[in-house]
Amino acid sequence: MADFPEKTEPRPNRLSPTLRDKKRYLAFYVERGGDVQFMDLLNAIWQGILGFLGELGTAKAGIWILKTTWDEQRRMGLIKCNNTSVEEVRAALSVVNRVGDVPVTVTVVGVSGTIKGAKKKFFGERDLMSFAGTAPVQTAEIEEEEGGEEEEGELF
Amino acid sequence: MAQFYDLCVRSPFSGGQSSLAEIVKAGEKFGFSGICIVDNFRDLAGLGELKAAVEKARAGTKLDIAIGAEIRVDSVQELKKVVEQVRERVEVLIVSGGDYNINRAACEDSRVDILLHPEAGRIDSGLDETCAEAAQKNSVAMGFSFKELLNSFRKQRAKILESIGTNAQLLEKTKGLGVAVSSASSVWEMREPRQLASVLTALGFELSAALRMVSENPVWILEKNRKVLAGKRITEGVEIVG
Repeated sequence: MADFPEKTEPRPNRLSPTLRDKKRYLAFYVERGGDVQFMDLLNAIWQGILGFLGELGTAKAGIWILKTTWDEQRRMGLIKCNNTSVEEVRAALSVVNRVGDVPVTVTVVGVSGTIKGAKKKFFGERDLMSFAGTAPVQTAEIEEEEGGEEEEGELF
Repeated sequence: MAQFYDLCVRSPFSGGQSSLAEIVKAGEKFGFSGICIVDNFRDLAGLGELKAAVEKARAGTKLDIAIGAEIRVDSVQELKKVVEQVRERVEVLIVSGGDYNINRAACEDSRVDILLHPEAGRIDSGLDETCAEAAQKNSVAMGFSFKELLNSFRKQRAKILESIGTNAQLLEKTKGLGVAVSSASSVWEMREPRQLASVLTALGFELSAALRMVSENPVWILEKNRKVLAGKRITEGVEIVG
């Protein structure tokens, strides 16, 4: 019989939706003048935000940089914050201008309410649902070519 | 759709580190409709060089490129002399603030378009209600420079933010004109218009007012001056139509 893992430390229940802060995800794009390691960039962004908003402001804004969403190829990532702090975070990101000796600019591409939405809108990611609208049109074209006008009506 | 303008980007002829082609490319990328390349005024020959270079740069882009002059002087007499010399030759005239007498003289001179960073190098904000009212009366815009924030740290940045906040209050009270500019010396100091507006929003401006400072207000300044330079605008409210 397989060993079950030991029981993990108990966690508090999640806050009810009315008490939770409403989140926003800011998609940011990094323009850089040389090679930059992601961890260095991450530190520079945190330094910029902490410098501009302060520790208290950063805490109130509920900021978190989602490391796993960083796309090296597109040089884009996501930052989570409260819905009331979007403008402050945008301003804080604008003061990030250097990672070590390399000049950088961090631009906010857009804001979304979910990670999924942000990835779809700004990272250009697609899932199967993205193709859903195109399928009937393709079928129609094929059937039109093969069977002519009679079958066209059956599609609707 | 809103037109966004950055009315102060420093030219490579006066200490800027990026070429005009790079500036134009960055301006297009950040979504600006136009930018103003600004010369630190030394003499008319330097301004002539900039004009020739800007004419070349205009050829290959849709970006509206204006020419401006930034005046840095030590006395009010010198300010008046240089303004007299330059006004007819540039589309945007900016006075670099700091000294209270110069700040006030700039606010009282309707030929000046923008008084940039009046708080520079000061403990106070560099302006009072008298100055703000004069600026409003003479349509002199209060310029908020992003570069001052970018190149300062901790205590100094906090001081600048405080001063900008004070000037913002004066501006709201007098219902004067405000403009947000990057004052960038290189493309790495340029920021997209929305970010410039966000900094002002964080300092207490309404988002709509902050956005006006990067769109409507700069457009108004530029259009007004272009009409004057073309001889179509005689004075406030008197224009040659057609």
